[in-house]
Amino acid sequence: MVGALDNRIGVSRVFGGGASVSGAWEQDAAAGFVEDLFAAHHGEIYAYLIRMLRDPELAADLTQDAFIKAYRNYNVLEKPENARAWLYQIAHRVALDHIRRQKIVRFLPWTGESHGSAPSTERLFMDAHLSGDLQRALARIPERQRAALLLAEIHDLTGLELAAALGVSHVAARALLTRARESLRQALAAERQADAVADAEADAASSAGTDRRSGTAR
Amino acid sequence: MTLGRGRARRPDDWPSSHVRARADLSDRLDGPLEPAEAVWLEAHLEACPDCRVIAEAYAAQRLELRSLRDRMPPPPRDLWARTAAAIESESRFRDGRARSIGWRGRRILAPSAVIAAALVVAVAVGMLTSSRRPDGGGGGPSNQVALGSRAASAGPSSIRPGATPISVAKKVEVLARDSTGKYSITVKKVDQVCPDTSTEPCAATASTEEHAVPLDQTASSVYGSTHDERLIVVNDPSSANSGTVSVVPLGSENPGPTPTPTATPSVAPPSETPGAPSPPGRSTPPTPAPSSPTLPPTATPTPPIDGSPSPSVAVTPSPSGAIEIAHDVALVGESAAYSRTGQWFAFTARPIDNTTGPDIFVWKVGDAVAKPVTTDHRSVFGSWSGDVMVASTVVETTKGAAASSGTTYEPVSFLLDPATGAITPLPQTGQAWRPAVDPTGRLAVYWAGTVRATSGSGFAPDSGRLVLGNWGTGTAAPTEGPLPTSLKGDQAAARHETTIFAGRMDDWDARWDSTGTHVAIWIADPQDPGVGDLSLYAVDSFDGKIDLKSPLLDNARANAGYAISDGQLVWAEPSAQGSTAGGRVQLMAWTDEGVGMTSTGTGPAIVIR
Repeated sequence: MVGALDNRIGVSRVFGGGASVSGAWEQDAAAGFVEDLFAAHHGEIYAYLIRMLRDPELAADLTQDAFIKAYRNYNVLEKPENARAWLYQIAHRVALDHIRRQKIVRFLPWTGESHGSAPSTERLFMDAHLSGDLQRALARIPERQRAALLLAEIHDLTGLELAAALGVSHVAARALLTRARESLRQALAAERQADAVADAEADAASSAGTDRRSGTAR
Repeated sequence: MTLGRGRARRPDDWPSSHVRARADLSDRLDGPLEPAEAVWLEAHLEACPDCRVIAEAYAAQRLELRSLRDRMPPPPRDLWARTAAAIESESRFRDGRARSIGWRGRRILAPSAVIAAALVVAVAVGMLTSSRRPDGGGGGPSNQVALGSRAASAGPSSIRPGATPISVAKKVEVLARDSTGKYSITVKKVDQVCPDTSTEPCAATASTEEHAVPLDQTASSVYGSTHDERLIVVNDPSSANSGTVSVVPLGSENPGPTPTPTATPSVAPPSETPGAPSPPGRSTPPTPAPSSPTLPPTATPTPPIDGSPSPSVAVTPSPSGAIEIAHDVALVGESAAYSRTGQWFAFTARPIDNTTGPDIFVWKVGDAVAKPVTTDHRSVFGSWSGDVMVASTVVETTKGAAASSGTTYEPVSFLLDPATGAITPLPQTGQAWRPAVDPTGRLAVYWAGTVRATSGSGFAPDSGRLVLGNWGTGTAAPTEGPLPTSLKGDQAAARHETTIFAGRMDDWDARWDSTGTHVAIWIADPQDPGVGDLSLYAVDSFDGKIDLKSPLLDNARANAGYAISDGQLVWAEPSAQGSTAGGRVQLMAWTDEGVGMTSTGTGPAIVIR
């Protein structure tokens, strides 16, 4: 009965880093724990992944993957206050793994079409809500730098949290941010210059489907 | 806030002073520089116009990035459903016990293990009386069950076949049909339930009574009243009949109003007996309602789609003394129910010719006919909260991508008082369809997601999940104060929703016992909506949560239509051939001592709900 009572406060026990009990109880606790995590953070994790990957469907899939990984590894987390950064760390790894597999195909400059089909509502949403220049510039910089910038500036991770999410030391995180800011500055300048050139050569035909900024991502 | 400063970088670390300046410009966005470094940077900027441009660019791009904080792309609505399903399948895979005995096998093991655990406790504490709780803690019987259920996690090895039966005093009522087509109500009194039906059955002593019931049609579902005054019998539309809902008086009640449309019903509302269950926290006594069969004011939650008439309802005499309170209708969903006081009976129905969608009908005890109380042809009854209905309608939406092609609908719930026709919208409940609200009004089982139109002008769950969520003010009767506003933000978090089922689902039936400590949930097979899986969960009185991992009954095959009341759940298994004609009738009973099951005979039988 004591064990049962323990289990009723399973999530608290997990957060408290209590001793291990039977597998069934751990799984119950893990599921409840992940459900709580999901409720609290899935929106921001999804937002992070969509900005990293620029593909809503992929972001949804990888958000799911991230929470499944959290479920599998919940007992690795030692301190509850680290849960958010830990979740970002998982999401970050999931994203990088995917990017490595896919190489840079998805990160070529994006002109609003993809997969050869009509833009989805989510893409239209992104189109409307993200500055095109900023979006393309972010896509141009290396993914680890992009991740550092997104996490620091949009997702408000600081210091040790940022380092934990990026899976590096805090000195390395700081250096990554420095490089990222400079990369973004140069990428934004290049985008804006390209815009200016395009505007100068403006004619109606140039807008439809032609990729006027073809080139490598970096 | 500041990034950790590791080792200090020495000035000669830098390839150039401009690189050092850029690092400082970046660092100072994240926190103040060390004083000496700040002084150096100011001096450098003074002398370097390009570096000042870079400083401005860093600040500007940071602002631009930060503006994205307010533009979070909305995640897909079904994201939790997908994730939970994946986690669920993973946990099943990893659960060696479930794998070795088969997932379904657990449904028997779970309750029986409860008994085994309870027995172990009983032995350990010696001669405790059955009503005394070993842990001495607070909480009701359900807590005991929940604890026992958790204790069962110790493993199936502790189950002892042929364990001592549990004493109960239960009654199982079914409508049975003999080979000659005559119907009778079979009442079995059950004194004992067996801890484990998978072993040799214990001697479940039972007495049986039978009462003939004059029915001249084929019943598809049957609803009993609180004091056995009458049956409400639903006949599905078929070649033999036109789809009726009939009231069949039983011995103790007058045979209802004379079959004249203008007649005054002669039946008074049933009086509450002292022992009748009354929901806690809601002490409104049943008020004697006016006995004239006046039509309740027609409620219109949303404007009618068109002017087509609702299904006709008229009094039709029947040789059996039954009266038809509705005909040419087909029942929609499985939510039909009496109100808590037994004064009203609500159901959702549509015309059999599918000319319009569903509306809610209410029959008041003593009335000659059931009256439609909605006219928008898209309203469905959810449950009763006291004597007020909690119902849902749907509005078309263009938001988001539908899981299926075609129009997607957003559900909206509302309260509907059958006595006055008053409607209270419940925008604060968010996306909730067909809520089954517990007797305390605290929790509800509902579909959190969108709804799709089905062939035949009906509606079915689309993208979303069946959840248990906080209901809270959702059932509050109309009160003073500002009108509630619609739910904002993340509904799943705001309502503490726990997923019961995610995936394709056509229909379900969720019902609470009268104490609100147990909830049974039946989910229809998509292929054969007459058959489904029935689970029973206990609400943990400790935290009000339901541990979905520890059901008292886990996905037992059951025909549509089960009965749950205090301490017992009765359902009919499909026959071996899978037909709904009925295999065994099962009783699960729970007491302070534990949970047990017994099977009460076989044969085609319909559980009286």
